[in-house]
Parts: sequence; structure tokens; C-alpha cells
Amino acid sequence: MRPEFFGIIRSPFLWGVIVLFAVLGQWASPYHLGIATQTMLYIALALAWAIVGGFAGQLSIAHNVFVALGALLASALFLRLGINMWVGLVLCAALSALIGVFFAYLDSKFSLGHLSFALVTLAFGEVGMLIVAGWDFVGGASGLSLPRDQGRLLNFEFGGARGYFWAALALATVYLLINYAILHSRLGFYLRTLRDNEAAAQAVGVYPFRNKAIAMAISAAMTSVAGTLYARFSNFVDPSFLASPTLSIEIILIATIGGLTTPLGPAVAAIVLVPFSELLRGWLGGQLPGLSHIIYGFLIVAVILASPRGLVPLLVKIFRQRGGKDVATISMQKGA
Amino acid sequence: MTVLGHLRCVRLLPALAAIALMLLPVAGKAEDAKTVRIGVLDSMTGVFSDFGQQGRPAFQYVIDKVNKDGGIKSMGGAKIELVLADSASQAGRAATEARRLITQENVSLVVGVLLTPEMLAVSPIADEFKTPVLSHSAAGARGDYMFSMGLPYDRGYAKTMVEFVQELNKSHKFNLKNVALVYSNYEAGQQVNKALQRRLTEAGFNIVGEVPLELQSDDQTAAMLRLKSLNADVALGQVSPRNGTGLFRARYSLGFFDTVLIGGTAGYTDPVLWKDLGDKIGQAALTRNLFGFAFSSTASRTPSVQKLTEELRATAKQGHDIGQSAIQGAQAARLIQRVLELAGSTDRDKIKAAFEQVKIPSGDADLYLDRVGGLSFGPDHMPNDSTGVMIQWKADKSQDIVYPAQYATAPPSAKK
Amino acid sequence: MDLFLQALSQGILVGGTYALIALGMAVIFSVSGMLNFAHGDFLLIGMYLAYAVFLSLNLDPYLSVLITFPVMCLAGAGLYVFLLKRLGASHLLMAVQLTLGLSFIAQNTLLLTFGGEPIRVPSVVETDLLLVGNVIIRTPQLIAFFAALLLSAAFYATLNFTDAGRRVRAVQQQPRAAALIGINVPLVRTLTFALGIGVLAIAAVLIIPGTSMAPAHGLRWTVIALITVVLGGMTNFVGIFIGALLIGASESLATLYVSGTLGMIVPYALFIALVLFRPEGILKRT
Repeated sequence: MRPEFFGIIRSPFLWGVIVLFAVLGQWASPYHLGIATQTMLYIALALAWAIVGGFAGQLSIAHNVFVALGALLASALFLRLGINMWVGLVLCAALSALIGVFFAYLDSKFSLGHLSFALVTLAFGEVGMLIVAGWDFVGGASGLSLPRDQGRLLNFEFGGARGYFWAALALATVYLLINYAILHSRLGFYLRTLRDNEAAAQAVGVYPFRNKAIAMAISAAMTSVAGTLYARFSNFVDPSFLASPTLSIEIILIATIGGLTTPLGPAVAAIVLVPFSELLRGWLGGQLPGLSHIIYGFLIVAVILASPRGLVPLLVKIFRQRGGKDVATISMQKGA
Repeated sequence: MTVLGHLRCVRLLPALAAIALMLLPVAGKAEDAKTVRIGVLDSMTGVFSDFGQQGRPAFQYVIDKVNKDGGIKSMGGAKIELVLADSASQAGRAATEARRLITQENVSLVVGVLLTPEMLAVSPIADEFKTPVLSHSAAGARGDYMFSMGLPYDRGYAKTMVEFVQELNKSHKFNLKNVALVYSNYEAGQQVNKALQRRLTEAGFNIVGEVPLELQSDDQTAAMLRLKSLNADVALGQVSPRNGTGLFRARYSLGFFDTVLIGGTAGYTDPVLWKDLGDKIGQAALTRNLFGFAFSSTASRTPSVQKLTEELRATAKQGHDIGQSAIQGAQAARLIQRVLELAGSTDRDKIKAAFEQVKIPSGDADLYLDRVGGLSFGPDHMPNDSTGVMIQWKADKSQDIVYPAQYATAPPSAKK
Repeated sequence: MDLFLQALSQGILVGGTYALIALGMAVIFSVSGMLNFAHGDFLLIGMYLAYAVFLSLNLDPYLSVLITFPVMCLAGAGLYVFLLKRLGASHLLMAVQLTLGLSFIAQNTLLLTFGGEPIRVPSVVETDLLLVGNVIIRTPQLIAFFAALLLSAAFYATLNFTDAGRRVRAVQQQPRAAALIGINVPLVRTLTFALGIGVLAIAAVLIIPGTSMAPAHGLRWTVIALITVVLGGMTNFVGIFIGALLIGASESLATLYVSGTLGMIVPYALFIALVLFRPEGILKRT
């Protein structure tokens, strides 16, 4: 662990923002809390994906499989076999990590290129959706409904809108720290060298399979855990959303739009994009259904044209132009 | 060095604070004594947008009429004000919008197409804020505040279809024994399929095989070939409009009409099928050995339905015909009018109680469904009478009701 | 046996339509290395354009392609000049995101303009059937199949055996060197983008008979095109054609012989196996 990491966890700015969010949650209305919780869950999902998508540069489109495992299998284990959801969360995370390692194995065994890896994982994503839809134990295409939350933490219940917001905020915070930790660790360094030049990395003794497998396992387990929380938060566990490859694509969209060179990228992008799309649909969706999605599309195109490296580098540029020498820049240079 | 701890970073704070401000509650709007605010939550975009786009105009049309005719009389002529929202065909999005309608817009109740998954996602919110929600079409009603005008998969869909097959054998000299199950592979299709399997086995039919249809596929030739290889007398199941279109194209091109097709709802009964298939394929594939299960049909001889159909046709967009989604929308509006008259108040619990008491009897001018038992909710918050109708198509694109007998406009015909 | 032949021929014909759709994606990839995630939505735009022409001029889709092809070519050129060109070649992932943004815009603009209900465009041979032995074949699908065969062969020949094709390959492999030897790189890229999107207008009118069109259908077509292109080896147009037939046939036969979920998984499993064991495409010797 390099000293940069300890700098980050001691950063008053980071904790200031997190405390600000937590305090705002105290006053927010249930509608806005719901959107804020969703935002935090998307931050968690995007950060989990960024460990393979950003650091290791592997475009996995199969992450919906891990979300589905965490959400549907953990719920099914609880509903059908009475297994506590905390236990289910751990089991599903472990299973996801195993599947992640399997993907990494395929990648190294058949030395897949980036594109082949992306498409193979997309096919696995589709297969995952089909298996969920055909598997009665996890509710098939109909999904599962969890019993009403009674606020018993030991049963993985967080007690109402505010509780879920804080749980999701805590999860997103932990994931942000994990990302920084990996970024500044030996693993993060190895992953970046493998991403940038695999042959050269191998020549100096960096094992591709071992490092990529570790990254994939961590990312898959994190995704699964976020899936379990998503399931408990939404109460009705909807496979057409939580198991669909479209969700993978959504996660990738958020992660990359933010910029993959810093863990702040996925976080900031989710904070901008998720509320933007939800509030806009609430505002316009009744009168002109579809218009909000069009504006959302334009926003994405505009951000990418303005800054092909992502939203955070763009923000950094803007702040720098205004005279400030921004911290995020430094963190990026270190990270990149 | 402290990367994020750098002092200049304070510059980022205002931006983040501004975003965070969006989380703050918007002050609730003062309630006008002369209006009742109703949240309308339909799937207007996404994969199920056709349901919302058909149901909403009919719903709005009837609500406009209610307002023109003097509003809610028990509330001193209060007008109904609609707050519109889009569920984007996704359960999670439906939940978010329901939260907005209830907590931000202060509506007294929420109504909408709300397919079963959307209903399941909205019901915890209805319970949490003790706000009644009415779904046009969900196959169940979970929780205390959810009501649905839809038909349950088992005692609505499966029961009507199986009893109809028995009726065909008994009274119309069909000899249907071997049954195949042909259904769209999604939530509704799978649930109806399970219920059908149970009821068919109990009734002594021989199930010869299953043909699940991939929801997003246009070409169903191979599925039709599989059905052919099963040598079934009849195929039953819930089928989506897109899958229905694919099946009928395959039926036409393979010239395979031996197996009687029975199913629904929209995939076998929506007039949009004719638009999608064209006249020639429609006439060949829809008008023989096919019976559709529907919530209701514009073929009804009931005067209230005929009048409504005429009015809706006059207001519909060019080239759009009226299907069951429109009738469900109109019926939802009339039901809400009755409920509000009964409640006499915008109080959410009084409205919930009114839902439990309301009854639109058979023969009432406001009943647009052919149900002997009229429309009222049982303890499960689903319609007490949950019998659908079975229809068959005529070459002029209109329908005949063939079941139940008291509403039949023609006998079921077996044309090979 | 009749059932088998019928399912096989139907699968192959449907595969032909997959090839048609995938060609445009491969053309664009061949020169820019970019994957267009709005590909399926552009296909739908082509279909709705044919519908609009039918509404206003009452033209059959087979004729309206004379109008929609140039329009879509212009759209493709515009897409490159105004949007993707600015990204440069190094941002494959950003091109994917940008086209995803376009997909949101296209899908919902179609929804606002034409509504969410499925739409049909009548066409001259829409309902015609051919009987070959005991196998029934839909004439419009046969036409689409031969068009796909022709276009694949033409693209293959152009890319491999003509000067224009050599330029395209040069731009793909060594853009700087290509510029040095006097190739107008931006122009080559603009023209191939125009062709890649334009060919979707052709695909659109050929698949209109027998396909439901609704604004939300785009992503599925994109996924089919992606899978087909990767299976074929990205820029090998003959490989893409054969890959498309494999996917179509496996879908059809699996539906007939393998029941339920397993049957639906078969095409994806086949795809995964082929990519693992023939990563350079089904025709490349490894």
C-alpha cells in the first residue's frame, strides 16, 4: 500500500462530501431518497466494474450475472431455504468470485483479445439471463418478492428509505476506498502494466492470469454484494432488470462516462447521470414520454465530445482553467 | 501527500453541494378542495409501451367526460386532476415514479396499466404511504392498498381457457385431447403456463409438450414446426403481441392449421395484429382454428360497451383500432369515478375503503366488461368475477364472442 | 426429415438477414476500429424511413430504398464527420458510449414520432411463398438472402482485390503511413461510414416483410450484429455471412429439437465455443 492511499483516507474533502450526503439524507423526501439510494447503488456497481474495466482494461459485459446472483439467488436462498441474507450475501459473493475467476481463466487460456473477451462475456450475460428466466428456484421470469422490511439488521433489513440510503452510501464509500486501495497497491500497478502492454509485463514477471483472476474475483464479489443490497432495497427482485445484460451496459456507460483513470470517475458520473435521468423522467415523462431519454442521450454525447476521457477529467480541466490546481488532477496523474 | 486533502479542492464543493441539493424535499403543494389529484402511471416508453399508449387516451377520455358532466358529485362537484407519469416498462422505475406521485405530487390515489412486475414493485410503496393504487391489468394485488382490475393467472386466464376447451368438446363436437403449451417465455407466459398445466392435468387432458417462445424474436417458424411435431389437437398459452405476430406469420407460410390455437391475451386478440400482419396473412392465419382469450371485446352486444367503442373509435388516431387495453383504461376511469363518489373525500383510507365496497353490477351503463358478476373486489383485491371472454376473428377484422355462452355473438367454428 | 429441412432452410434464411445487418457494422469497423452500439437503432431508422416514404408517396419498400439509401449514407457520413471523428481512433470504449447515447436519442425520437405500436409497411411479394421439394420458402426472405450473399461477396472482393479496398485496409492498419502515401484518410473514413450506415437502408427494406418494427427493438439487432461480426472475424465479409447462417440455423434447429431454456442457450453456447477455439473468425486458419 503506497502512502497516497493513506492520504486519501485522511482527506477531509472526501469525508466532508460523504458526511454532507449522509446528513442531507436526514431531510430528503422519500422520492429523493429513493433516487439517492439508487445513485449510491449505481456508484457501487460502477466502481466494482471499474476494477476489471478500468484498471485491468477488460470490457466485461457479464456483470449482470453477478448482480443476478447476489440479488436473486440470495433472495431465493432466504425465501426457499430460510438462509439468512447475510449468509446468502457471502455465499453469492463467493460464487460470483468463482465465476469471475472462470472468466479470467477463459481469457488467459484462450488468450482472448479485448473484443473477443467483451463479446464472450456478453454471450455469458445473455445465457445468465436465460438461465435465470428458466430457473424456478430463483423465481423464473417472474422474480421474487421479499417480505416487508421490519428493520431487523440481523436479517439484512435496514429499516425504511433512510436506512437503505445510509447502507448504500456506506457501501459506495467502502467501494471507493477499495478502488483507491487497489489503485495504489501492487495489484493495481500490475493490472495497469498488463492493460498497457501484456507482453512487456510478462517479461518482467507479472503473471497475467493470477492478477486478472484476482481482479475479476474482487470485482465479481463486490458486484454481487451490491446486487443483494439492491434486491433488499427494491423489495421486489425483478429479473428483467437485475439479470439483464442491459444492466451491464448501463453500468459500463456510467463507469466510462465518468472516466476510468480515477475511482472518482464512476462515482461522479453516477451522481450526475442517475438523478438526472430519474428527475427528468419524473418531470417530463408524464407529458412527453420519451423526451427525457432523448435529453439523456444528448447529455451523454455532449460529455463524450467535450471530453473523450470522461467527465471527471473534464471537470478537472474546467476547475484548472479557473485558476485552481486541482487535487483530482494529481490523483489522476498518480493513478494513470 | 494528501491528494484529496488539498485545500483548493474546496472549489469542487459548491458543485457537489448543488447536486446534493436536489435531494432536498420540494414543499408539498396545497390541496385544492375542489379537485381530486390522481396519479396516472402507465408504461409509455420501453418494451410494453403499446399497452400504455393504448390505455391512457381512453382513460383520459372518460375522465374528461366525468369532469364535463359535473365532476364528483359527493364532493361538491370536485374535478379530477390527473398527474401523468411514465413507468418506462420497468418495475424499479415504476416504484420511483409511484413514490414521486404519492409524496411529491400528493395524489389521493395512483392508477395505471401497471403490469404484474410493476405492480409488485409499487405495492410496498402503496403500503408504506397508505395510498390506494389501482392497476388495469396486473394478475395479482399484493399488500393492503393495491387493487387490480386484471385477471388472476389461475382463476382468470387458466380457468377460462380450460373450461372453454371442455365446452368445445362437450357442446361443439371438437375432440381435443392432446394439449401442447405454447407461451411467451416471460413472467406472464410462465405463470399462466404453470396454472394451465395444473388445471389441464386435473381435467384429464394429455399434455404432449411445451413450446416456449423467445420474447424478442420475430421469426417463430421453428416454434411452429416444433408444435407440428408434437401432433397436438390444441395449443394453449399466454402469448405477447410480438410473439403472436410471429406465430401467425409462421402459420400462414407453413400452411399449418391443424392444431387449434387458444390463447391470449393481446397476442391473439389485439386488433393491432391485423395491422402488423396485413390483410392477406391476417385472413388466412387468424380466422380459422383460433380462439383468443381477452379481458373484454369490442364485439360485445352490451349497449354500454357498444357506445364506448363508438366514442373511442371516433377519438382514436387514424388507423388505430380499439383493443382491450383501451377498454380497461376506460373502465378504470369509471371505477375511479364510482370509488370517489363512494368515498366522498380525498382521504386515502376512505378511498381504500371505497375500493373494498364499490360494485358496478352487470347491466350498469358504466360497466364495460362482459361479466355476470359485474365489477367488484374480493378479499384478495382482485375482481370477484374473473371470467374473461373467448373470441374468434372474422374476415372483416371484427370479432365474435364465442364464450361465455350468455355473451356469445356466434358459436365457435372449426374451419380447417 | 421434412421438419428438419424446413427448420434448417428457415434458419439459414433468417441467418441471411442477420448477415445483412452485420455487414454495415463490419464495414464501419474495417476502417475505424469502432463498434456502433446504435447499429440496431439505425436499422430501425431505415425501416421507419421506408414507412414514412410509404405514407407520403405510397412507394413499395423495394423502390423506396432509392430514397432511403442516400439519406442513410448522408446520415452515416454526418455521424462520422460531426461526432465520431472527434474522438480519434484511440477511444474504442468512448465510441461505444457515444453510440449508446445516440441509441437513446434514436429510439425515443422514433417513439415520439411514430408511437410505440408496431408498424407494418406493405410490400409487393410480402405474402408470396415458394415450394422447393417439401420445403416452403418465403419469397421476401429468399430475396433478402441472395441480397446478403451478393453484398457480402461484393464487399469481400472490393476490400481484398481492388484499389479502393487496399486504401480502406491501409487506413485501418496504418493510418499514418496511409496518409504519407497520399491517401486522404478522413475522406476514406467518411465514405466507409456512409456506406456502413447506408447499407442498413438496404437491410431495412429487405427485412421489413416478416419483421415487427417498434422503437424498442434496436438493441437486440445490435447484439445480433455484434455477435455475427465477431464470429466472422470482424472484417471478413464471407466469414460474417457464414457466421450469420450458423447462428440462424442453430437458433432454428435448437428451437425445434431442444426444448425450453436449453434450446435458447444453444446459439450463445455455439458462439462462445467458436470464439474460444477460432478467435480469428470461423474462416481463419489459426
